Amino acid sequence: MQTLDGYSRRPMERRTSHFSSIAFVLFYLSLMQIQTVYAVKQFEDLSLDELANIVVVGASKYEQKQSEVAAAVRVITHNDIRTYGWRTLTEVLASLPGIYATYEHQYDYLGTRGLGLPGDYNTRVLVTVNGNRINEATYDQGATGRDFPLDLDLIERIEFFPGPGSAVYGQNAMLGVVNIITRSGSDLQGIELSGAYQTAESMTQERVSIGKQFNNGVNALVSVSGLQARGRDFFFDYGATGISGVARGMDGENVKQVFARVTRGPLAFDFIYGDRKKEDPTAAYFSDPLVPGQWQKDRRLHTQLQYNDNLANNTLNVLGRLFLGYFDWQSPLYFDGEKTVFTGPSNWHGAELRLLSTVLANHKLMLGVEYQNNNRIRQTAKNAVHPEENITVDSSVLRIGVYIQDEWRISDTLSATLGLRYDYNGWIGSRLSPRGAVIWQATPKTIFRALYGRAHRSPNSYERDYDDGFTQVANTGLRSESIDTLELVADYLPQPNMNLRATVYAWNLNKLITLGIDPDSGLTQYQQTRKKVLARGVELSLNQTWDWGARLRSSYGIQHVEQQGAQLPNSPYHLGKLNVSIPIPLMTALRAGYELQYYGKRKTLDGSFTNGYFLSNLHLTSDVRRIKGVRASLGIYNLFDENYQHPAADTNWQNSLSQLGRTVRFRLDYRF
Amino acid sequence: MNRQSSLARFFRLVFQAGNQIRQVKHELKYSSCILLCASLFPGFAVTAMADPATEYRIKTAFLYNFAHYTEWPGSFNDNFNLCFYGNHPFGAYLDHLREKQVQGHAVLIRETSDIGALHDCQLVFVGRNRMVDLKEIIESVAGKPILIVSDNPGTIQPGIMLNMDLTKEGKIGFEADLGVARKNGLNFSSQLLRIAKNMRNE
Repeated sequence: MQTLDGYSRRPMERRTSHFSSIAFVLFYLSLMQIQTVYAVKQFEDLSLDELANIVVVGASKYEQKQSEVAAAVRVITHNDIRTYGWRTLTEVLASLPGIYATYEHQYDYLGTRGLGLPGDYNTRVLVTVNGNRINEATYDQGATGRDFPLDLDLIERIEFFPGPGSAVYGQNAMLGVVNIITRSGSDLQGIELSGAYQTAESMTQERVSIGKQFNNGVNALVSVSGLQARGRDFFFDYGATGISGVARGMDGENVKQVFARVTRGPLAFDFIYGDRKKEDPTAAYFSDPLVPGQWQKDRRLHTQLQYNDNLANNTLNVLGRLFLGYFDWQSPLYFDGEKTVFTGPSNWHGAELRLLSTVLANHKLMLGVEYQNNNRIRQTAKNAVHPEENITVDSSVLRIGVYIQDEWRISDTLSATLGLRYDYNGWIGSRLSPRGAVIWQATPKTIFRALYGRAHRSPNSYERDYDDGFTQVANTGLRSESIDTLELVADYLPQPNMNLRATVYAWNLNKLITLGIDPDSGLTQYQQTRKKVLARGVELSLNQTWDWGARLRSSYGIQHVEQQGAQLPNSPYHLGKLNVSIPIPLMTALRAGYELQYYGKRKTLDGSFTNGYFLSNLHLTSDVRRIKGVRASLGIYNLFDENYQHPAADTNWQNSLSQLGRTVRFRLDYRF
Repeated sequence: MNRQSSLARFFRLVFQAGNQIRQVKHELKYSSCILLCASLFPGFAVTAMADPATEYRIKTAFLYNFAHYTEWPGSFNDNFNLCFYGNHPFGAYLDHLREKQVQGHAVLIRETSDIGALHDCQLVFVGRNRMVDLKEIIESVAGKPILIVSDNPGTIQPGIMLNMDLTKEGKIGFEADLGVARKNGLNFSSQLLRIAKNMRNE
């Protein structure tokens, strides 16, 4: 007997296992289904007339329209990345409303909605790749610079959900969630070679990717990338040391990355490895100025095995994943001529199961459980001259989260989302993160959203446990930070190709973790401040595409963040973004992408301000069609050679840090 | 379906099958556990593994028929490349097409989000979420004999040759734009055009 079900065609294995039992049951359950009219035939064997007369069951409620999403999500595609020539995730995200970057010559930091405390290691934005958390287990750092372990060329799509995401994603999703979806083997279907050279930093970049979809359904992508930069010679003032000078040959960088993704049917396996070493010209952590051989090295490994399938007539989506990760940070620094090597490795693993059901009419119900075991977090400092000062701090923490969410379609024009997540970990105890949203399609062209959410983050192991007895003492009493956000969003689409959006938001951050002084020892210690951080902001954006191929994305944001009446450091009032891409007339397949950004002045730690500045980037891409498979691009970054500064952190000698001037990158891709 | 009779049939069937293999008892132990669960959630477990006439199951069959009833100029090099651009909800239903042939060529399913990779496809399905890229897709494959299919609700978009839609009666219908197809060297057979709800021929 033949059924429509693919399972029954497979030969049964003659062994005793639970699986064979299950298979048996499924086999017979499927046999019971053969009462349908088309049982002995496949649908493909029917005539067009017959097909056109079938009344379909459970018409897909699955595809979610953008207008129904309970967040003002922003999407950036592979094509956008190519068009604008973005080199890091930071640059990609900085094109979005309300986001600003800070670079202190070691790491990139994302400022979001006015919060970008210098040196906070991106702990308040959650970064995921195919749903797998990139924020590691020692510092909770959501890497977005060159330490982000995935080559941007391998990204299919980036979704940015501004605002609180803890009701689904748990900790760290305080000011936004960056969700990255990678490309797969069938996107390449061949070999891609890429090489680039960039001036100023004297940087070379190369990538080899192989992708294929096999006839048996296996879809595989393997890619290796590298980056080598000599870096720039910057002039630095080393503050209190009285030393200043040009840091020559101390800005070098080296990146190696490996990515593999293999999928078959509902199963997917991801392997992401990144190794990045960055020399430090700033003498961070008050190390000895102008001494070569001081650097930061980050190694990251993120793997996961994912199962994602639709069952029960497409009314149930099951997502299960197992993940395993490793992070290692290493940094040799010199203090008074003595070398100390710091490390911060951590291991974690975990699992998540998420069920999404649309079986109830007008409801999309989601239920999930997540478990993560940060089973080894080790922070060490080793001094070769005084080994008695060596320290090793070991810690571990287990996190459990359970979440539920319902998207309820009240009427054709009104829907609501309610969600709640419960988190527990031994450091902070229990946390509840609720979320609520109402979405009203007022007219066919107008959508209003009102959103509320609470989000949190647990202190990271560095803030909580690191204790070397002479610079910092531990604070195991640290609890979590939490943020409450209220947001109103109005979308207006006067034409199908035009979208105007206005967002008004307010957030309050409680129990902010900052560096303070321990009254007992007089040493620095991470502490929780009672001073609430309050923010109010407005974002306006306009997106438009034209029939002749031009695209425009623009936004203006005003954000006001204060703590007890004082403006927060590294928080610009004004942010303006403009991205235009146009096909060059008369030259087919040549496209120009131009980016203009305005960053308002930012307060530094000493109370002064860095100047506001305009940043322009121009990027040209071309498909050289005559030579099949060749693609060339030329990017000019900081086109007008603007000299600008970013505020420095409380671990720097400097109060502000100079940024790169104009750089030119030429890139050639070949595909066969 | 009557649950009682299903149960009885199930036990009988399991028993018969069990006799054919060794260690029936062990099998039954787990089977009955699962049976219990299955009968508690008939809507879930019972229909989950069958192949009912869901929207995308039927649309999968339509795709196959579209390929069958379209004439391509000349012959293809190797496989019949059936490409899906962007995310699409067909999922595992596409397995039904993997062993099929179109005009003597084995069907090769390709899923891509790279417009540059579409040039050697015979059929491109453009997912709803990627209709924004339609203009770019059409430019890049202009003049090539590539059948462009979508399932955009409402009217057929310029450049799309066949567009599937769910009718008010819950059936799958489609519109055809013969003008665009012919411009690219494709032709639809009369069987296909007879079923099409709307046919443009400019």
